[in-house]
Amino acid sequence: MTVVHETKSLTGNDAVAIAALYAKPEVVAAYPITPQTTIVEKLSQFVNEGKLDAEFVIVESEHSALAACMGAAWSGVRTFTATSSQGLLYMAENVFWTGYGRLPIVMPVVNRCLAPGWNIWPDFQDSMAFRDAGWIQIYTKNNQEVFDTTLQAFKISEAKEISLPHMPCLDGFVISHTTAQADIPTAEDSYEFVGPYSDPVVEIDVDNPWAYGAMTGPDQYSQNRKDLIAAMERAKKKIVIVHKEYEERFGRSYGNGLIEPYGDEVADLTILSMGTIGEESQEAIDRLKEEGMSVNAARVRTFRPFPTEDIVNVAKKNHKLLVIDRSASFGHDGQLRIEVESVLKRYNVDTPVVGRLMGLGGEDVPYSMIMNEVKKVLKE
Amino acid sequence: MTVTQKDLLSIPKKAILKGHFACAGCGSALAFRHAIGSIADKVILVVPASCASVYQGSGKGVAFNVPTINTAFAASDAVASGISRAMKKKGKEDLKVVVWGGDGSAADIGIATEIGACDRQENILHVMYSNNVYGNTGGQRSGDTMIGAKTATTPDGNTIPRKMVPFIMMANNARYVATATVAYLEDLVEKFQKAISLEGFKFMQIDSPCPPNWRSESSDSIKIARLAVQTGIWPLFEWNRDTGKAVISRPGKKYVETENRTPITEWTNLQGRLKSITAEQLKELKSDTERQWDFLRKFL
Amino acid sequence: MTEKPSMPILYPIEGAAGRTGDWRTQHPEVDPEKCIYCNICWKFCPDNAISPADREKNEVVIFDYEYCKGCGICSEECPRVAIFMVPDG
Repeated sequence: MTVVHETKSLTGNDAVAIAALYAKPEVVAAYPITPQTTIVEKLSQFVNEGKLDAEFVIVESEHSALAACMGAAWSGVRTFTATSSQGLLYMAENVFWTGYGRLPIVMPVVNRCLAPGWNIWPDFQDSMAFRDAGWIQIYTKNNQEVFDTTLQAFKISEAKEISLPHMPCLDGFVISHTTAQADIPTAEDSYEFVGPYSDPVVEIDVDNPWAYGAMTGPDQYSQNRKDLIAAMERAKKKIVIVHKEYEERFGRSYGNGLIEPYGDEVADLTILSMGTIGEESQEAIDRLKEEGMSVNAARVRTFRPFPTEDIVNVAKKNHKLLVIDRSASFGHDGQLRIEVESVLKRYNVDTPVVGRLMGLGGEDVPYSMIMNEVKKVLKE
Repeated sequence: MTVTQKDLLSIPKKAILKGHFACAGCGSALAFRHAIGSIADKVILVVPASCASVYQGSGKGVAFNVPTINTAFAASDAVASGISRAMKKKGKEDLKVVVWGGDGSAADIGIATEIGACDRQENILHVMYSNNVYGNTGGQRSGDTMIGAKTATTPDGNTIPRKMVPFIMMANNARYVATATVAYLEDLVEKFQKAISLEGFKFMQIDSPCPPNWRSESSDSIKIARLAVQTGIWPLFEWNRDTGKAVISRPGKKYVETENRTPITEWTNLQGRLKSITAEQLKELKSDTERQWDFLRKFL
Repeated sequence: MTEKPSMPILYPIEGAAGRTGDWRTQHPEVDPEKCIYCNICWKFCPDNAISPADREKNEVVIFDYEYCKGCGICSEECPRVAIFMVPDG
């Protein structure tokens, strides 16, 4: 069962658009925002060229972009949109509606700083602000992974037992606008992997009417929430399963899908990070090892659902963790650091944790900067 | 195709079941019963936060016997667009997508979304039933509140001129725009039927009496709605993009001329929200009402 | 094994707001001699709590007291003043 890949030079946004194209959504909503814009532009091109047979809804705001996708999802069809930063904030109530309403919508977020001031460079404040909204959140490190993740997203989200929306995250500009090579499978193989959305989790039916999201009391509502919690647990397993299926079909993987370890299994210091800082950490690890230091890394790919068991295992095996956050929950600390420490405490793992905020505001985080931090931490 | 009372008796199935949550004497529920009832076997309803979200039901079940998607306040027309497009993809364009919301969403918070759907000529009908306030939250002033009306946020009477949503839709190239009232239900259903038979973005505003917020007797609901037409407060018309012309509806024809109109005080006196309108405010209300008529007359 | 997700869905039922007849302080009664089977009351009831009159069968309107909220519109709009509102106990 061989698949053919074509090595393409493309930007991260191109990779997102092509993955979306191959998944064959039937309703696509489009609203531009830097640095997501080229995704929707590319999709409009595909529609124009007849490659994408979708209803292309050029909405008047992001709030409407997600709303239109929700309408399509309720109608039982596959749908797609993408956003970033202020746009994600503008559609906030719909983001929660989609998560809590269990609509399987795939919506990549190109991470960009939140205003004020106007800063189009990457950090994770935007997607982090929605970690409570009931969406699967996976942070990617490069164009290749963005393609693979977006394609897998449909399969994970639309599974009947999951039915959760999915937000593949990619660093603004560093991934979205940087041209790099990626191996892209054929449209046929890609669609075959995802499969048609033939058994929708919800579908409007005039012969069997129901009301969605009507007034409700604590009873039904809390039942819905309990199932949401359970679905997130099921999603943890599903992400790993689909990731494995993808590896078997297309030959690519990123750890087990939840976290991606790098380097030796045991080291004096383990770097935990997300996104492109994760890839940059790998470079830092290689060079630090050349200098004779004992370091490894574990890139957190899936932030929601939180990969508790995997993080605990990494911490148990290693001696110290350096958690790098590209966002902060002001008044406390970086979100990844907070959550890592909390699960370690829960499972009685006393591996010390050090946190660093790096890359906030889109500040460049080269491997040299990471190396310096590692050295500082090892001295502490 | 004229609609008679007999037609109202023969609907495919009940769209709203008995024992719903609407207040006694609610104009919106009455309009729903007949309008949605007339297409109950092929309608998909989109309901933004509004009185309809509440009178739909709570907890055990819902009174609406048709597929209903509840949405965030400003989202209805975008959700409706998504549904309409999906139905097109599925080859189910015979199903009618109808937004059923109040003036809060249609005149204010949802207007950008509404105009966006209108611009794109989405194949949906937006029905704005208006009680001239944010009814669901206790009667605060909305864009559709008339001058002089006391509301929860305008205790001395509203001073801001009334937003005329139908005219906004006309200016935005809607396919069909109509005003209606529960006082003339046959006219209402006729316009509703006309609207859903057309393709593109259609808009209807229904004058919807509201005893609690208007501080009126529930038994007076129809009477007040009728007086709104007879006093000229509520022009009854339909406008079609094909002709670019507005036609005054039969029940309202007489009242185009101000001399034929019933004195506005007959309408204000039945409502606590307007009963103690000052002479000054009354003058401004009349003048603002004429502003509407002047605009409308350009299309007659 | 797949489970249908627990979605916020509710189904149509009669009496979604309970026995709304309990809300009222007055209820309508019709004088069968005066009823002309015009069904204007039936038309204007926001609660659909009136069964239409049938001229052929000589049946006047019937009120559903389970759900009638006592708004009084039927009484107000009846062209023959055939409906009168009676205070509830």
